[in-house]
Amino acid sequence: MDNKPLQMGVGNSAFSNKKLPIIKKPQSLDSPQITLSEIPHLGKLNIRCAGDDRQQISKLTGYNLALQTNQLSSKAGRHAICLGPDEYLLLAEQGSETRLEKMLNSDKIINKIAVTNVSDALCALSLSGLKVRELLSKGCAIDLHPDSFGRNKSVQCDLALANVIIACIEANETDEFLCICRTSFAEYVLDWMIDAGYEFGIIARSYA
Amino acid sequence: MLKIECPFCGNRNETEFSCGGEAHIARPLAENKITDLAFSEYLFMRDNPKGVFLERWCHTSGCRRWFNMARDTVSHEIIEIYAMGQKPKTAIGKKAFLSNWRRKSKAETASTPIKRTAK
Amino acid sequence: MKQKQPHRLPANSQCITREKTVQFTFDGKKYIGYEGDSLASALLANGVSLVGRSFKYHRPRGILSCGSEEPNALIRVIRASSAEPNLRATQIEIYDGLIAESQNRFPNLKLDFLSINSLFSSLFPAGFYYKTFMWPASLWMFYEKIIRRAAGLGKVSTTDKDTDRYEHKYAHCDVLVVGAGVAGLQAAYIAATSGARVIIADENRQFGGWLLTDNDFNINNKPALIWANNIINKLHLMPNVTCLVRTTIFANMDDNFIVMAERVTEHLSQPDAHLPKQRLWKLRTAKTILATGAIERPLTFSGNDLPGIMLAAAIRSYIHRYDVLPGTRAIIFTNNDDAYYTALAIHQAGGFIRCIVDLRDNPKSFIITQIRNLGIDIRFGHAVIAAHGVRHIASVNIAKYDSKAAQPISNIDHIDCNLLAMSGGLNPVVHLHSQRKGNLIWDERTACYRPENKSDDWVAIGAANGTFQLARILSEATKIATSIISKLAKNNQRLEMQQTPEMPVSDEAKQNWAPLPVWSIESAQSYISDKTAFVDFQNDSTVADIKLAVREGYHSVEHVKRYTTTGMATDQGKTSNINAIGILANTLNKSITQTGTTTFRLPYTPTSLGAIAGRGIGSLFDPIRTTRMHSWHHSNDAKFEHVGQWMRAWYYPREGESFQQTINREVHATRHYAGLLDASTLGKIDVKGPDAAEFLNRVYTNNFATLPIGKCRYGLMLKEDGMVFDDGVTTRLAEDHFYMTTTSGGAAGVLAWLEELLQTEWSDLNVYLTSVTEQWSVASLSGPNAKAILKASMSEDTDITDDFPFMTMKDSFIAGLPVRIFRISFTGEMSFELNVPARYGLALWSHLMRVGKSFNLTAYGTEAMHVLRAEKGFIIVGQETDGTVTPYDLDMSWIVSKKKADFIGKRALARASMNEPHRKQLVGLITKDPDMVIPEGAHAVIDPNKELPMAMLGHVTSSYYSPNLKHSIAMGLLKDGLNRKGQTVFFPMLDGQAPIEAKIVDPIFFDKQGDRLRG
Repeated sequence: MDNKPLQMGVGNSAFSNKKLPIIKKPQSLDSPQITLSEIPHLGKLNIRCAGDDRQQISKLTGYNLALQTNQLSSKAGRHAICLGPDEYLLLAEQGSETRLEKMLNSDKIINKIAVTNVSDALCALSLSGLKVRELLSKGCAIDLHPDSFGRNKSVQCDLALANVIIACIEANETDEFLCICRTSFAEYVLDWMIDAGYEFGIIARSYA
Repeated sequence: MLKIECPFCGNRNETEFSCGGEAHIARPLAENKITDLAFSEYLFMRDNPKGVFLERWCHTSGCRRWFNMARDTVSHEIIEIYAMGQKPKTAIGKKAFLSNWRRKSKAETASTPIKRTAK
Repeated sequence: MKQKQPHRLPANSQCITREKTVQFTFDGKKYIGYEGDSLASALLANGVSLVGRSFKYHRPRGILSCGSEEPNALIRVIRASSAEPNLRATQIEIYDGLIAESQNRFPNLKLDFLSINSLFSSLFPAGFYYKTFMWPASLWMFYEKIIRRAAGLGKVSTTDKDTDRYEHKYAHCDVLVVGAGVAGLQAAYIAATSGARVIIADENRQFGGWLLTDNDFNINNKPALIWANNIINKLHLMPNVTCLVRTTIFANMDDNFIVMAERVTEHLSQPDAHLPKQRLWKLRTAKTILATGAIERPLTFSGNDLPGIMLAAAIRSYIHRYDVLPGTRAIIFTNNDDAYYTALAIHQAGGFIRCIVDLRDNPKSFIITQIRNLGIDIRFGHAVIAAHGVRHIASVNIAKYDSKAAQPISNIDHIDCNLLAMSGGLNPVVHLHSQRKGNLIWDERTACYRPENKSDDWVAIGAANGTFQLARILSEATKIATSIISKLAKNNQRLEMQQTPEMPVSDEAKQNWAPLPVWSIESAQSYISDKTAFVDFQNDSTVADIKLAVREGYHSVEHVKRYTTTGMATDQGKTSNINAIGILANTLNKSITQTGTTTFRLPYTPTSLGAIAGRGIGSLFDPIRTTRMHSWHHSNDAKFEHVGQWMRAWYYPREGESFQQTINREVHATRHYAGLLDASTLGKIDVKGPDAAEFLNRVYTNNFATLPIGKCRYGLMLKEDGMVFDDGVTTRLAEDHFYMTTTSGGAAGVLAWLEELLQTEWSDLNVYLTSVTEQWSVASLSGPNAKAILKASMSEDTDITDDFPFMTMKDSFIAGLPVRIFRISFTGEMSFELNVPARYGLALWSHLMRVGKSFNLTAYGTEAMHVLRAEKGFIIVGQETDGTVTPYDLDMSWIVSKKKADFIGKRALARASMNEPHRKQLVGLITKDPDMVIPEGAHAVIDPNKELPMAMLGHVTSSYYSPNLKHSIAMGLLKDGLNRKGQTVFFPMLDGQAPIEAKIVDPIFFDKQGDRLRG
């Protein structure tokens, strides 16, 4: 009997059914102005905790949870997003989430915490380029002007017909954004972005 | 489309929220036996005033937190937004709260443990 | 091809490009115009004045205006991709290859068969349709067909789809300026210099507003247009300013939510594929400045709808903006000074002013003197009593007129002409103000309704505010923009108000802006009828209609509007409303203020449905959610069904198999060997916290506090009214950690409901909920061979299949994948629900199918799942329940705890009405004919031969053919059903089919003892 560990030990990406790259652009443009890719299997932990415990969690994990709702903090490629008064999303390099989960669940000082691994439930997309804000504004009612949506700003909102988390990682000429959605909406979000990005030129490619 | 200030996320479009209807409907405690009629005040009776209305709202598409709102159903003016479990602070909101028939209802009286008065 | 444009003047305007000729087609005939022309200006240049037939009487109609208020010139534009009806010729920009056609005529414009209606206009008065077709009601079906053919405006595309691209865009700004005329430009500039984010939008193809028409004033000692162009250039260069042309702000809603339609490529011959035809902007702005200008009022006299009769300022626009002189022998009919500028323009363009007919008795002003000095015939205190002509104005009747007594007081003069310019005063465009329930004030001096500027959100300036003189407009715009910015700057550090904004100086010659309102001209001649004195050109309502409505008892302005349909056409009465109110006021002998106004509602101008739909069409209409095993289902020829947004494998037909054959095979295989179902869509919620058990105890009817770790329990959830809301199996993973499953369709609703309880009712409970629906892929392995397959799929060291009792959970590995296994069953067979992190779903599924091959493992879909569970009498919430069904109605009293002090729904279940004997209860049904499957939803009766309407007992909720039992099975909710077991009921069918006879039985059809699932 074939009981050997499977070939696809890393599992499937959210876009296994898609053939990447997909490029859509006006004829007049030489190259797309927006780049889109899934960050496959990015570790994602949903944290619910009381305010008093934030310091201890920050100390243990190295993530800064001293955040207001809709703020993001980044350190060495790790991001913490504050989703609500007692809710956070930690983004960690692939595989490290289980270690963090165990660490938090076994800590004796933390009084009140719920750590849930949502790495597969959510899909993280990286978006970058000159026209990302304009692309998002076609389906997102949030004011994305750099004055009000700068670096380390995040938001949970609707993007067209999907609920998403949008976070600004870099605010400069080639803005870099994260867009996190439920995995089952990932194909819809991708299709929507390719359609909306047509005007600016968009390439959806595998994560590099 | 209303602009609603979520206590946590700030100003957002009405479409991001869901309205949970009338606020301050206290759930009768099971230990306080009340009649079907009194229970129906809790279960079925809802206000639909022309003017100030105290409502519960949830920021469904955002932080998913519930909060209370005092809103004028005629002008659509949002008079105040206040936390779950709290009572309105503005004079208009207070008046709407205190003058509501529910304050005297048997169902609401039954939502707190009955005080046993010493003889 | 060089074609003559007989009405085109020598080149003068900057608004059209004479070097660029444009060829277009109107009603099949080719014409030439210039880049920058509107269809209206190009048609007028070519001498085409008849452009449509009216709605009711099919009267010939021409171009009345030069803007979006146009009621007559409604045009259908045909493109390869689509055809759009009811566009205003005054707003359509011509492009090479434009194909336009007139509407509401058959067979053509000049010869229209239905124009016979016009001869019988006395037969079609106000309320005609209400009165005539009221009785008998049964004939309405007949009338309707005829009326529908005659009525209706325009034809939509004959192809099934509009293939044009429409997009949406959200935007935010500090200040929105609506309209880019003098007032708007000045206000936008002041706002922009403060650093505010400004959007200025105008519905025309270029900024400038009426300065493009009237440019004989100086601002800051230079021609006004130079001032305007300077501001426009500056605005375009400022990074904080967005300038939008061809953009109609059509909705002004709560809290300054503004919707506007930008026509992006509609005016282009060959639009870029990547750009939308239209872009719908959804804008939130801190402040709105309404600089929407004003619309001229027509005058109301017999025959005032003939082609060649136009608004005076519109004629001036055609001359100055488009180098088009619409007629050579003109009559000017006015009640104010503004039309004198039109007289001047016609005169300077080489036209001949037959005479100026002025309703006022002895007005004096600079312009009147100027006109008089040109030797033009001016007749004060006169009126045009009637206009005559067949398809174009040919002559008018003029008489001295007593406007107080409303009658001519002299003999009637007959004067020939081919153009009539009329001006009845100006109406500020208050629509966007009114949409927000802003009040209107009747201004006696300027004889117009102007907005009462009371709100903090928006303010009207310039002509939109009833301010019609250039110098005053400039100072008003400056003052108000400054004050708005100062207010905004208090709460916004980005903004900084300049100390003293520059106030432009105008040298405008003050004109006497005091129109004499005369709402309708009465002929007092029997041969001149007020049935052709049109108030609403688009809906064909006349002075006679309004008078008739009053005679019939309609006095409220709202009633008269609806009875006569005045102001209810696609132009919403932009040119007619105030005239109608004036005529109504006169008829009722009331003042305008006493008469009141109707409310303008959105949209300001008709908006394409395509723009409203945006890109939410086709595959983007609704997200389709798929599981991680989807590609396997797809490549194994599964048919799918939509469950909410989920796409679930429905059944897997093999070649040549029918639907029923497939289901029978899948059901049979699962009962006899093994089946595998993709159950990933099941809702899953992590319930964590010290109070988790207490919380579940409160939301489920049965007890969860006593559930041991590692054990699973089926739970039923009610709403507070005692009705079944959801069900599912919940497993205790740790003392303070439960794993709850919900129905696929109910997942979001259950999570939201539980969150609501935790936040609003029991905030003292220490519990957190997290949706993990998509964290796990779930394969449900079921059937007599399930255990053997599971064993075979695991290596020896991870084999946990022994000592794995029903309703327990174990963690292990399958082929190296971490898997959480629940031994629960929805089929009645021994089952294992295998949960793996979602990314491994496909790997797990493929592995099981491979391993299961030698055990006859069959993939089955949701349809077979339904049959399997129905054979066992398992309910599906939402199918057996509909929000009116209690656990007792389902005969599930065993799951309602008697011991718990409280749970959601407990008190409601104790209500006296819950014991009423007529409650519908869940029963099984077996048909007399074993092959007859009762349609779901069929209604049960006791005696199908009774007289109609007969009392119904209840309805069928689930119904299938059971291949295991070899007969059909059904479940239904029947009144007092639990006491009716053994009785016979009938299900009457449609179309003369015989009623289906069935026996009421227990709903568990198969393996009543449940030996199979316990194994």
